[in-house]
Amino acid sequence: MSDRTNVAYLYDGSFEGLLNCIFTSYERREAPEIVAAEEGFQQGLWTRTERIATDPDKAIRMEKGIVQRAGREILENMFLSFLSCRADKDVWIYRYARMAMKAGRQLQNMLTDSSVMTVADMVRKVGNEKVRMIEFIRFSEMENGVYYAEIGPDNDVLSLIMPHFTDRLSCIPFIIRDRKRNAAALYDTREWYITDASGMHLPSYAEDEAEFRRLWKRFFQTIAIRERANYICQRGHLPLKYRRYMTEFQVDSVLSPAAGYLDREKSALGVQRVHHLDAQTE
Amino acid sequence: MELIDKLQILGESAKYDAACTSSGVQRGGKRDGGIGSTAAPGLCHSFSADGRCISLLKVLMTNYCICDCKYCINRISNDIPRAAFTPEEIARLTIEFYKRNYIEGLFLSSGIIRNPDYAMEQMCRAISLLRHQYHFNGYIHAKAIPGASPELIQKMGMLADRMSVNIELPSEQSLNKLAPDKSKSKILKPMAFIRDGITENQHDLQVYRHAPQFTPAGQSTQMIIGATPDTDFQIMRLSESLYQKYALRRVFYSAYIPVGDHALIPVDQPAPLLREHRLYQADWLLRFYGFKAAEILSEDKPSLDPMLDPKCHWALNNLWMFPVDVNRASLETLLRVPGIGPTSARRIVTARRLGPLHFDDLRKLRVVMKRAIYFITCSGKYAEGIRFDYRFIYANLTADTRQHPGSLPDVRNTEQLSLFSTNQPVLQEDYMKCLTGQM
Repeated sequence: MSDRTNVAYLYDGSFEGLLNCIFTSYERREAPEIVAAEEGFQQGLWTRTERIATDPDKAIRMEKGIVQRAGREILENMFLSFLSCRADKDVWIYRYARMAMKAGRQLQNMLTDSSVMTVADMVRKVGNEKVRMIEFIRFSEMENGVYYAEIGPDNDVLSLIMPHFTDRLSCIPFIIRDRKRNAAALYDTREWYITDASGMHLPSYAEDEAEFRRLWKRFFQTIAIRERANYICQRGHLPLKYRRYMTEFQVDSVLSPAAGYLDREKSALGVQRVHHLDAQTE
Repeated sequence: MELIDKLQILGESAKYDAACTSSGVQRGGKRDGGIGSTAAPGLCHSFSADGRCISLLKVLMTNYCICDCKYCINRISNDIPRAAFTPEEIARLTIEFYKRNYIEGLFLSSGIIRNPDYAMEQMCRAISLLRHQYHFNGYIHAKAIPGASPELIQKMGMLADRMSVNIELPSEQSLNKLAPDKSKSKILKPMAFIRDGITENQHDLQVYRHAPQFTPAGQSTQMIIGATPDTDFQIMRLSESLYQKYALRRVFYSAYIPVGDHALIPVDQPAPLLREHRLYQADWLLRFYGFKAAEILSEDKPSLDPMLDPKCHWALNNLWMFPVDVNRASLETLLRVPGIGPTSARRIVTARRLGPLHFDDLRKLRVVMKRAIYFITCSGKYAEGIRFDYRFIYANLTADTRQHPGSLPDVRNTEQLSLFSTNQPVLQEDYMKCLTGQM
């Protein structure tokens, strides 16, 4: 890579935009110090900023170039890293792509290169959270027969978990709402798409819903072996941050979608505290 | 009785069974009105307060039982509330929990009500209802009951993904003493039957691609640790032969938890969790690292070291094989180094094609250096400050313990260690991992 140029490339926050930044750096023969999404970018003192326009054609050419030179897997890694919550993900994806164009298929063997390592880390974290979401997500049946779930993952994994559920629950219409990004994925038993979730109106819960929640909570409490209580181990596998969305950690009284996000958060923590007291008195 | 009370009673009775895995078979969903799919690595939907994963709805069909196995909570002489599910109740609970993504499927076992065949028939009815009427395509793990007729086992095998027969205790003497109604041959017979069923089915599948599958996720078993005087060496040899002769996917070890006092059970301390943890570590060495039971333990050294994991223990006793040079050693040799697992061994082999690796590179490859560093060289050189000497390595590998002995809860210390007749404290790290979790 040529010497870094004292410039920051800003793009519109889409994956195509990021590909355009990489493309532009080749076009202009410069190596930007920073690549970042325009939104939320903090202007540094010494860097010149440059707004890179998103041109779909250039994005496609860049994609093709990477696939031809280094393989499809590299492009997939770039996309998965793009979903990461890491603040400087754009810079690392950019460096990774430059490295891929230089090293070609050898890139996969360069496990000690820092960009390869960082991207591999991001891919692993996104993949891990995807699996956790698939495991920990909890649906509720609504009175119109739609199943509804809320999640709040650190990484933007909503699009990654949809194929699993459309395959598994293929004949059930469902909605998964990402509370952190205010997005919702909708599935109507034929196809799915992601849309903005603001202003989404929810019907009330189905009649049986409360009963099955009660059954599940009872089972959850029953199945633990008290003599082996180990909350540290439990927390390692099931971090507190996910529990507010999970039925077994919510309090019974919260049984209306209108009860709101904050209440639910509080009650989830409340349950936690009770559990801990339980452990201490034993 | 209300459904919720039944669920509590029959969950309570099932919870001491260790296995809750949903792994071993990959099957996509069905578009024709069916519901469910399975994922080969298994999925854990929640974790209970003891840190164990909850993957399946683990319940008994009934906890009425004619047997009087001393270690079992459901023995006939135990005074506990009894209940029985109807097949319809099981099927409905499973499907409703499944749709809400609470569970990955059903793990159905049963006490022996009336006779083994009757109990098996009830289980078959529940599973058959689930598969055929509710079109459930998710994971089902069913217990085969020793003494049930082969026809029923065959029938269940066609419906379930995984079957298991509990071997219960590690030796025949223990079995005779604590489970008078069971015998080794009675347990091994259905196990062999399932094994043969799987082999036969594989031939059918080669001929007809869509032939119905017989327990596609294989079979597993479980044994109780610490209720009998069997040694770790006996246990590991038993596991080894189960893996070899019966082609089991998994052997589960369950630290004995006293579920009622009984004069025949010699050990009365609470669950020997650390011993269970060490056994799982040794089990992994058998299955993924190419070790043999006789390499890890022997007749005169029959117990696993509570201070060290089995791999470190083995390496220290075989120092003549070390140090290993990471830039030249074969994959198999690398796998034998403590701190290097299958993943990092493969990474090393890949990365060194492009040039020699140094200690810093190994850290980047996520090799566990705090263990590996004593056993490796990079291009002929040791890491700085490392002496290749038994006492130096032993002292360092167990250093965590000696530095922070007080940081462990006292109660646990005594209960963990009483089995091993040493007064050495235990690595704190091991406490964290002590509960089986996803194992």
